Amino acid sequence: MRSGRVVEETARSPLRVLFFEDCDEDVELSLGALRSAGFDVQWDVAVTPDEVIAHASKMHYDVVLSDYRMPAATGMDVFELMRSEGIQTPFILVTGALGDEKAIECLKRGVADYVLKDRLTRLPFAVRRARKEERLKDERKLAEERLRSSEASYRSLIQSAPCGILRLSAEDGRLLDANAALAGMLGYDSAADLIAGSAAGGVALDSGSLSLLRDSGAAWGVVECQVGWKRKNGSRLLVRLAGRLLRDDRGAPSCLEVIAENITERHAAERRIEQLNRLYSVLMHANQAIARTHESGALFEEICRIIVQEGGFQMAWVGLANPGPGVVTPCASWPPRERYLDGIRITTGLDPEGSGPTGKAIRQNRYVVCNDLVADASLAPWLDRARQRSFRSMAAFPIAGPGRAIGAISIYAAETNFFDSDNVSLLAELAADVSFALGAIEAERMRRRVASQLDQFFALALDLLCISDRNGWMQRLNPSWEKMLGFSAAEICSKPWVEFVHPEDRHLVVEAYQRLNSGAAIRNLELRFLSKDGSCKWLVGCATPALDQGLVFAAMSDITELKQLEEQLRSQNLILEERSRRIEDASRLKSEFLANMSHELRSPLNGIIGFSELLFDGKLGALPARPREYVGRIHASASHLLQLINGVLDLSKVEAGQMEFRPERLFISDIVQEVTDILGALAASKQIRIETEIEADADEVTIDAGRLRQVLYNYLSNALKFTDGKGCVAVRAKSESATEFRLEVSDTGPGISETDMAQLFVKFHQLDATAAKRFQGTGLGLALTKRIVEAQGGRVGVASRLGEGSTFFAILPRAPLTAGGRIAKILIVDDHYVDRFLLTNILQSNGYLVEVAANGAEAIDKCREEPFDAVTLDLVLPDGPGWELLARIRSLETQKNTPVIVISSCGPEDIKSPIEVQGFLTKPIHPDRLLAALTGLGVPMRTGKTING
Amino acid sequence: MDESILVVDDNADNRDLTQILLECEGFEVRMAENAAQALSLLETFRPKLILMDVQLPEMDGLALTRRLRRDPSLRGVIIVALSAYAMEADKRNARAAGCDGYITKPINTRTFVGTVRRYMDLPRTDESTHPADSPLQ
Repeated sequence: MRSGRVVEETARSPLRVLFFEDCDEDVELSLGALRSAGFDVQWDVAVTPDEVIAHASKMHYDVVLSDYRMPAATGMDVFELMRSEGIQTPFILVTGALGDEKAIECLKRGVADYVLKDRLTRLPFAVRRARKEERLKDERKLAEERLRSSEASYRSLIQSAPCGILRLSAEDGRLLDANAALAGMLGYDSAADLIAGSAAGGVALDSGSLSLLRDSGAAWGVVECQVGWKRKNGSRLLVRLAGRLLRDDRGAPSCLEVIAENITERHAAERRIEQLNRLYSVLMHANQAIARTHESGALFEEICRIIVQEGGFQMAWVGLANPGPGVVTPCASWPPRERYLDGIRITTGLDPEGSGPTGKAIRQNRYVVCNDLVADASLAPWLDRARQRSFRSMAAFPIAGPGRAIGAISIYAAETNFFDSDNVSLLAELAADVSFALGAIEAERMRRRVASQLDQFFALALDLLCISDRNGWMQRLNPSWEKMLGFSAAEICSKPWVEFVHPEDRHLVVEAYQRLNSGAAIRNLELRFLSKDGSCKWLVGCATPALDQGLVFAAMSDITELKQLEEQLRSQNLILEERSRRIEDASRLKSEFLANMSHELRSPLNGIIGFSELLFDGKLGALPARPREYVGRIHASASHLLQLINGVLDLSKVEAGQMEFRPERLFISDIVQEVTDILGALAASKQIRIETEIEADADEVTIDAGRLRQVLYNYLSNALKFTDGKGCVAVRAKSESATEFRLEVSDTGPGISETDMAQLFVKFHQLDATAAKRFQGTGLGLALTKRIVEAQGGRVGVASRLGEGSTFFAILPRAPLTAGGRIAKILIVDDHYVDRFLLTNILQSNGYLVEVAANGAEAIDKCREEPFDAVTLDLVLPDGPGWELLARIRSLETQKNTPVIVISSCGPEDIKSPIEVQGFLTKPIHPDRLLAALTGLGVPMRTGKTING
Repeated sequence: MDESILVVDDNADNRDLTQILLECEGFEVRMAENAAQALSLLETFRPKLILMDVQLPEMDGLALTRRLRRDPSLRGVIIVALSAYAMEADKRNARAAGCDGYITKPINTRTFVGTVRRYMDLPRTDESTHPADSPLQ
């Protein structure tokens, strides 16, 4: 192409030639040769060197054709002159014979060619070649100039580039060149400074990096490597290199061009990000572990594993400590069974072994960091262990328990200064999460423990416990149900439990659920269940709804046995009533018999006594002495018989509980006066002094006057009978207690032996058969006295010693105990099964007749049927408050004065009684209190009075 | 007439004893063995006081008393039961039947007439027919 163009140019543009020739012929010859070769030649001729310079400076010539030997100078002189003037025009010597030696020297000195004058035919070739060379030379020069200018701009670019650019020896990595940025990067003032300093090896490449770069070839960026360089000040920096290999003309590696980027900060930032990412990962995994682990040991193990594996730490362990100074016991670590912990001793005290981060963290309940284990003296006890395992830094984080740290998580890193504030705060967060999880685990453990304890009770309970949904399907039940019904739990849960209830009671369950679903609780619901074997079971239960859970909680007791017992009691009650009725019948018959017998005996006595009295008194005329004496005997015998009849009658009456007492307010002193008046004659006849002694506060009592008189008469007449003449008999009345008084009669008679005392108060028994003759008596007096006194709730007794007289006494209530007669009958109103049972048992075993009512309606029905001697009343009844019932009972004519005892779970102070009641007892029921209350109300179990009283 | 007494008693001994005691004290005494005789006598005889044995054949003393109490012409007559029944219930029954008093047999001859006289001396209005109005109640 170039030659083509040259040819074209040749053809088109003239060849400008400057001759240095003094011989015109030679000029013509040269021209001729050139023209013949096709050149369009323009020429100038110079004969002196100055002319040559002048021409060449004025215009451009394609070639200078110079003779060698000229008058002024040689052709070589001119050549040298031109070159020294900077004129590079190709120079061809056209000369005669020159000699090879000279010719070669000329060529060596830069002459383009030489042509011998006798061989001018070569001239065109020489010119053409010179011209071509010149052109090439121009192009090269141009290119070089261009290159020079572009290199300069590159150089400027390179010098001002912000990244370090350097050229290294491909052979040994020596620094050849560097830009300012690199110098700045490395802390040098200039590139030259750097290159000079690099001898110290500041930017040396390790062989690996060097070979990497060398092998990279000519393409940029294919190979990158990071190297650590030292700054001028000695600090290290991390540099990323991208380089290419340059080769020389021969293809041998010449140098490496390298771009260096300071990635120290970026690397640090990346590392930081990586670290933080790892710690976040630790936190995330730890939280997952917390969520799925429910046991603290396993959690600690897992947390340690996560810290090490996810966080890239060397080791982590958890140690626990008791409160106060003590030993920290490792309980989990990762790697498991880490030998670092073998036989390790760490305390929470103030000793050296408590001064490390772990002990301190627990003691002070805050995290403790040691970023250089070697430098920290407090780590001395464990430094050897740490060194063996390349632990360089550590931190301990307290595991918080209630109010204090219960342990710590200790974490070890392979580098110093790892635990900066960011890392530490993340790890502290981890420790806080673990602490929280422990609290939750503990709470869960407690909850489970409580639940399992409750489960135990649930399983153990003898009662039947169950949880059902609002539609009556059992959700959970305890084994008692299976035992009671004979069905398995699965069978019981397979249908609404109402289906196990006796068909007649199912409506009660339906009603109960309606109430439960409206939020009300159910208490004391009695139901019959049908068990698998077809037997009927009685249950009583309570239930309470949990509307928010849609559940009903129920507890039931098997009262089948109680029901059977109640049935037995009821029949027993019937038997008792029947017996009572029969006793009443019998005593009615007996009293009729006694009345008739007494009548039949007394009727003839009327005549005997009456007429003998008439005769004896001489009302029908005086009788002779002897007949009168005999009539007197008839009269005395008949009178004794009448006394006997009367005594038997009284005794029978009192024994049949039919003796009637009419208490009235009276003064004992009056009675004593009356009786001593009656017996005064007898006493006087025996010369016995009667002394009376009545205490003022025992004088006034409420008692049957006749019976009191009878008692006193018996005692006093006995005393008079058995006291010999000139003795003394004392009648005394005194206070025995707040409710009782004592009436006693002392004599100075013969006294009674201890063995005989037991025979006193026995019917028809006189101590000495002969005495009966001596002391007229029926033998009924003391027996009758005893029974009369006891029928009024009193008692009798005697104190005596042979030869020292006797004291007979009667202790009687100051006021009567009762207004009723016969076996007292009590109505028990209580909806609670067990209480009813208990009350029934207490009363029946103490001789009362009992009726029971489980609710107000039953109670009213029973009250209409018959009068009761007393009513016990529970205030909470299923069909209304007890007060309403009480008002209704009181409205019945037959019950308006019936004593009512309220028996309640609350104390009397808690209850404002709108209607007067006669007693108030608090559950649990105490038998003695109940009996005392009834007795106090005048309802002892059995009274001594007739039924129609 | 003021001192007249009718004794109704089926037992002759008792009738005689009563009669002797009363007549000794100057009372006019008529005797009846049973209710029929008593009723018959009372058609013409108006005693101030009747001593009424309770145990009588056929109509007993209490039934007779009730009957007499229904007779307006016998208003003001004092009826005292005289009976060997000694129970309180018997006394109550007697009062319920309309008796003004009750004397238990065997009688005490020394006090009997005095007791009868005390009954007889009780102030008694003719209008009071109901036993509940009796001052002895």
